[in-house]
Amino acid sequence: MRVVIADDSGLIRQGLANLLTEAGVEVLALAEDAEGLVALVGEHRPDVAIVDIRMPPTYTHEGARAALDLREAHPDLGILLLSQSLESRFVTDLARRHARGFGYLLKDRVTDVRVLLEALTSVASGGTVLDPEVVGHLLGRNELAEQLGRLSEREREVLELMAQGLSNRAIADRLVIEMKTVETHIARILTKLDLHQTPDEHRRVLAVLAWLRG
Amino acid sequence: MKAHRLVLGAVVGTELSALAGLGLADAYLASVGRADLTTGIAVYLTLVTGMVVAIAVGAVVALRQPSHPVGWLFLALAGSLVLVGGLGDEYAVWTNRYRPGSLPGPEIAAVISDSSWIPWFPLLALILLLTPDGRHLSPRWRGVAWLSAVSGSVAFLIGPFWREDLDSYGHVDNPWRVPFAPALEVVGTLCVYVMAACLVAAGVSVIVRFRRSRGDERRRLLWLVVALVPLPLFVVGAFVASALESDVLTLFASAGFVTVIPVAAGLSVLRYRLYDVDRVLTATTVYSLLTVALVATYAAVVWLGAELGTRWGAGPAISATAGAIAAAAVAAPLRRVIQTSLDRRFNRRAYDARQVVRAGLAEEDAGIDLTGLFRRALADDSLTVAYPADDAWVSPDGSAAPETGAAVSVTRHRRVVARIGFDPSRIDATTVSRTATLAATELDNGRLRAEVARRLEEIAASRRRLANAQRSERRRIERDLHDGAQQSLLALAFELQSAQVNGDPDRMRAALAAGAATARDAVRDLRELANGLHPAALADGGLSAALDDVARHSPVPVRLDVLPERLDPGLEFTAWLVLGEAIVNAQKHAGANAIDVGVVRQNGHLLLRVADDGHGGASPDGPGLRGMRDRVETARGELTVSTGPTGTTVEAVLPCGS
Repeated sequence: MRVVIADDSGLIRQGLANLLTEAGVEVLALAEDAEGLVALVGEHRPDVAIVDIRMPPTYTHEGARAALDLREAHPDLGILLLSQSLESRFVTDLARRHARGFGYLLKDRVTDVRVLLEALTSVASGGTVLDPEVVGHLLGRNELAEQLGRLSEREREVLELMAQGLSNRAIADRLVIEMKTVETHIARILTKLDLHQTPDEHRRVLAVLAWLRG
Repeated sequence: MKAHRLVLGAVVGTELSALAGLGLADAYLASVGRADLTTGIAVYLTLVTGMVVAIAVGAVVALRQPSHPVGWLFLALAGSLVLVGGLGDEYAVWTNRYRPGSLPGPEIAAVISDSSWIPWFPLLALILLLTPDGRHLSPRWRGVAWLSAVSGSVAFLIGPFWREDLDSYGHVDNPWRVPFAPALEVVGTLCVYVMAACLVAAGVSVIVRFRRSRGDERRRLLWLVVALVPLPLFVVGAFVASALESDVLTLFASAGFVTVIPVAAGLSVLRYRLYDVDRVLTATTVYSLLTVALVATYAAVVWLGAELGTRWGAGPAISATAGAIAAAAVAAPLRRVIQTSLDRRFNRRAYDARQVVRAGLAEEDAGIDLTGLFRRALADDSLTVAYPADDAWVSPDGSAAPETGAAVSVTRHRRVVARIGFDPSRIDATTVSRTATLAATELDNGRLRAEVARRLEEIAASRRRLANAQRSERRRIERDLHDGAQQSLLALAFELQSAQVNGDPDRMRAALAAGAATARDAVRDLRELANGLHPAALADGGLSAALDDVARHSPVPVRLDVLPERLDPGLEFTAWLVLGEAIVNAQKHAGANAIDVGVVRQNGHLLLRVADDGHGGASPDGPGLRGMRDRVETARGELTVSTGPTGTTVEAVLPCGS
């Protein structure tokens, strides 16, 4: 696994690079702004670019915009956006339009190296990863409460993991249940939410998102 | 360029000297006991009045508008009157009757003086034809002017050759009389008729002009109408005067007669107070009619008194008194009646406008839309109402009023309560003013409502600014957290996690040591941030403790004079925010060497003061001071900022209840 990291904070940049290196990920280069990121990706051709959403000069969505440019130039590049605070609306829009090989996680989530590696693997192989906070935020929306109220506790958990881009196997492992049980849960969820089942995992997330965004 | 001024000065000088000479000659004749040869004091004074007025009007018009013929025509008229009619006549009298043969050419003087009145006709006709814009109404009317001038010239020129006996100067034989004089007499008489006809036609031209005119031109012509209205009064007065043989009354009547027309023509030409002419005309008419009515009332009562008096023996004094009382009693109501009926007949628009406003005021009570009402009444959709507030004008909704072109003020109890802006091409100031004055009370109420609306708007704006300030404050805190503690802690987590993944004990020990240091830094960051939000020292020790803290950490020396006691927490917090911001401003922007901070309590108020010795230049309307002001005003206090080369002083007064 080969990655490029872009973050304006030297502390975070270095900390993340150290952690990934320790975990056996090859960190090819570090960029401190969007421009540097685009150049480095062109140069090193990584599997995944890890990009801080807020970067100079305006500290709004420079990182995300750079990610869009990168996606155009390198369709196979996996992109993992990171942010310190929740940016649900912007990110869900992005996820709906560019779901393939796309991930978004809060930074405090990636201090757990297991989550970080899982997300990198998923994104690198074209999967979609969304931070549970984003999913939870959307699930918490009032107008959805009624329909979601039909879901059981376990089904909600499964839905959240689905939204995070986990495969059925991964969900089964995470919840320590049988694969068959997971499949049953998903079938029930999709039925309760009036969605048609599809085999493709990230399309499944998309469907969930599309429904969540109304 | 100034040539016309020289000519004007010479003409006016000559005419005035001639008038003076005439007076001196008369005075001399009277002093040598030949008063029978003089013009007579009443006639002379009338002449002087008329001349002076004509000369003055002519001079003013010629001075202001040298190319306008009417000014010069007046001067010519005055000249023909005083030089030919006055001095010439005096000369002829002197050399024919006072001392025959003492001066040369007695016959010629007599002949010329005898025709002196002829130029008056064409001159008057021209004045009437050319008032007010200096142009003829149409080419046809130009013909009238020519006809008048030619017939006048012919009559004047052939006069000396046919006149026979010139009796007014004793018996003077005309030496120039020609053999075919009777034929010339026919021509001369015909010319005089033509001249008179032309004068009448010129009068008609004024009427035609008035009927065709609109707007401003009509208003200019109205000045002539103003002059015509009281003329009958003077004429009647003159008859009464001659019947009573009262010199004073004669003088009054004839002076009025010879004064009003030139003055009115002059005002008309000069566009003097064009928008008041309606009012002047109405007033003139009202008072002329009122005079007639009052005199009639007086006369009727006196006559009745005399009739009854002879029967019951009451004296004439009693009936005169009764007449005066009766006249006084009917004066006020009569004026109202005349005014209303005149308005209804001649100033229909103003009358209707007032009717609409009266009806509107009677119909609605609270929350009346005065702007709409006036717009309807005066048929001017661009009309605006603005009220005075402090040193500005505000619209009825309390917002700042736009600038207006033409406007009138409405006053109540000698105080301006509103300003009505209007379009002068649609309505005149007098009508607007008189109509709006009817609603002065409602306008005063409107002013109060606008004042309240303006205050509310100010409060709303202040709230918006406070909300914005709060938002940017929160944004700043979020950024501080993002860039400070949050980042340190994230880095710490990464560090610890990578050491854990690495697994080497030395590496882990090093990571734990570094991690503890990072965690301490993060805690310190968080404490500072929390302190900025609401200093613990403020909660624990009040303003003096919190300010002590500030002074200890200030890069610029801060001298404190702060009352030690505790205050209401809300008040303490407001004071803290204001003082804190003022101190930070002084530290950051003033380049000061020292900052003085004072907090004292006085008469139920908390006085805050932050003074620095920096270079001044604080902008009272900048966002910083504006925010401070909003805070202070929200607490019902007052903020003053004085800034200059010797430093800036910010002072706030906050009510503190006790």
